[in-house]
Amino acid sequence: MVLLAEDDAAVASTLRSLLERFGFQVHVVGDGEAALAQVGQLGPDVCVLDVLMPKVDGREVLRRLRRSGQHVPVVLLTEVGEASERAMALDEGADDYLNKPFDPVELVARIRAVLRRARPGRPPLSAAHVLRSGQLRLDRVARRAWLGDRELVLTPKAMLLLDYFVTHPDELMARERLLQVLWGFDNPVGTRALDNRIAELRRVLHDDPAAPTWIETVAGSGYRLVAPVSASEEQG
Amino acid sequence: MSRRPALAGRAEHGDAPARGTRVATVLMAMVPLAVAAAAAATIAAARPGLMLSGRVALWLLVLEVGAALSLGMAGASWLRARAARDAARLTSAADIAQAQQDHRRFIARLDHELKNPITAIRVGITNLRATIDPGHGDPRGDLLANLDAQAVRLARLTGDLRKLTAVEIAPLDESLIEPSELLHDVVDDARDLDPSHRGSVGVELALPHRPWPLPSIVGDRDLLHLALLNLVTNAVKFSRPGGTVEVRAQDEPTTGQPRWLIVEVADTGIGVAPDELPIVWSELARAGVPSDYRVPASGCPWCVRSSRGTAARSCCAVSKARARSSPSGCPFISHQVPGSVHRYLICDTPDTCVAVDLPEAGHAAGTIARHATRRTDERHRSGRHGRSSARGGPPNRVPHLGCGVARRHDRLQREPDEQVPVNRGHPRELARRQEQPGYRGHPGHLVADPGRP
Repeated sequence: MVLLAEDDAAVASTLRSLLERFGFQVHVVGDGEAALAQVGQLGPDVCVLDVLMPKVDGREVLRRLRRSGQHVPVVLLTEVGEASERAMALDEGADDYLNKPFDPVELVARIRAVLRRARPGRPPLSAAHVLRSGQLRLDRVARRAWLGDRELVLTPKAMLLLDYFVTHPDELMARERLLQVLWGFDNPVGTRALDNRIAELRRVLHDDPAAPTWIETVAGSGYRLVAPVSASEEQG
Repeated sequence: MSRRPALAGRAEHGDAPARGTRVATVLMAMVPLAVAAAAAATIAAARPGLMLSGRVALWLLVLEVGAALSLGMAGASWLRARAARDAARLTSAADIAQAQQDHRRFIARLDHELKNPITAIRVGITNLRATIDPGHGDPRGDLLANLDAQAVRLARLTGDLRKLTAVEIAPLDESLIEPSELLHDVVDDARDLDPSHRGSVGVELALPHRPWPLPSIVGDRDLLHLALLNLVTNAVKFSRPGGTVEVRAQDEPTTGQPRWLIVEVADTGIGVAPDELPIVWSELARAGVPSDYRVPASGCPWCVRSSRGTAARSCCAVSKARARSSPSGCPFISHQVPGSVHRYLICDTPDTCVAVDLPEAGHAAGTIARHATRRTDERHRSGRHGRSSARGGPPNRVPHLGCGVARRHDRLQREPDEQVPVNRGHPRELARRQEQPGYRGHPGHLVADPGRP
């Protein structure tokens, strides 16, 4: 079941039809307070939360869910373009986000991907403060990363990209999607801007593109983090 | 929307320097008196009976007194005028800052008001299309496809508008940049991003090889890429089939600071009429072009406007200590005359903006120039930023601040192999390109280089 929290009636009704057509059972609420109440009562498989809602906004709903130990997967529908908002969405434990207005089919794909990644009864990787992948350790709160004992020096965008990779392991990342993660827009700077960040990550990780330990190139499509990722017990 | 807070703030900002100037004027006027008093006290203590007697022509005394008074009055006037100029500049800067803030707020509200209706339209159209069997030639399919295309266009427009404001206030992500790598990427992207013109408009890149390549620069690579890409794709878009766009770069041959790296994007397009120049920087503005020259895209004004904003921000990245603190940012000053080369100079500070027409013949889409040869040496030496430091490139790849002579000296001491310019195809750069998905080999139109492996 999908719990859809959206205060705009036109968006809510069309999204309900869309998701139902793709086989989801959908429950719609119009504000954040109702969303919090329904999470407890219905136990949805995934929540789709608009950020701007009456009473309690989507981000606060997400915070309260995570504080109360509820790890239901959450997809946030955010404002376009705000880099800080994108980073906060991930920091606060959202499993994914989409900028409005979005491609409807993309929302369906995101929901399915989030459901695939979901670990029932356990917090999602995006809720962890520290993640490990082989020798790589990423403190997501402090925005610092280490390879073994060596701290990595990364530009802010490369750090954001690394964070997105390790919270979405084994998932094919289309180049357009990664560009949106970095910039918040579709194809803003040409795909070589992304290639530069990938090259930066590979350089600091000493990752050989021909035999990748972490970042694999998927020809014609994008990239994938191939190393397993686990949440560390340490809190930053 | 009330402007009072801005005006009040402006008054505060404007009064403080004026008060400071008045105090400085009084202090400076008291200096001669203080010196004279100190000298008199010393003389009185050491030689109380010392007398100086003499005679002077009355006309000369009168002339000297008059000259002293004139000098004093002129000095006071100059100080007053300077204070007034400072106040006016601050007022103007505050106005610009307020206008920019108002504009960003308006775009944010517009985006907010439009995003839900557009989302509902797009999802609704998707739902409707699912009810049509595409195999039976239902005319509603075409109609919905057309509606969907218009909804996508509207979505992109709102995104672009929002992007403009976001880019202008986005935090800078500085690193050391090899201009030749950057320009190769820009030209490659320009070829890829404009499929309607692919092959019909050539894009050529001309970079200096001898006696030395372009110096490294410091800035936000992505923003610079965006700015340059917008200029180049615009040039391609408004060139006729068979035309050529040429991207050139040179290190400005001056020893002054800051120095400039000049990038020119020249095309054979129609240019912009002088009376339409004021609207070039406006969002959604369209310059008047002949009907047979219409391009089915809405990007032109946005691209140019974006170039302005992002390039200026990158410029600020270079000279951040001064330019970023300026409320008016880094404005462009531009001249454009159809049939002449157009040069945009991205200014170091509002005070140092200059615009230069190149004396070359031919048409041009635009030129971005930026100074960028400075860097924070400590940061570079520590290897915290930049690819050159990571790969241990030649130490003279990055000219130091104020070291024009030293730079030449370094270059003369180079081994011949070290003078290989980056645009020959640095092995790492080639490796990076080859690992990109869909790599199809390096496209043509590059500067011929017999030394390339």
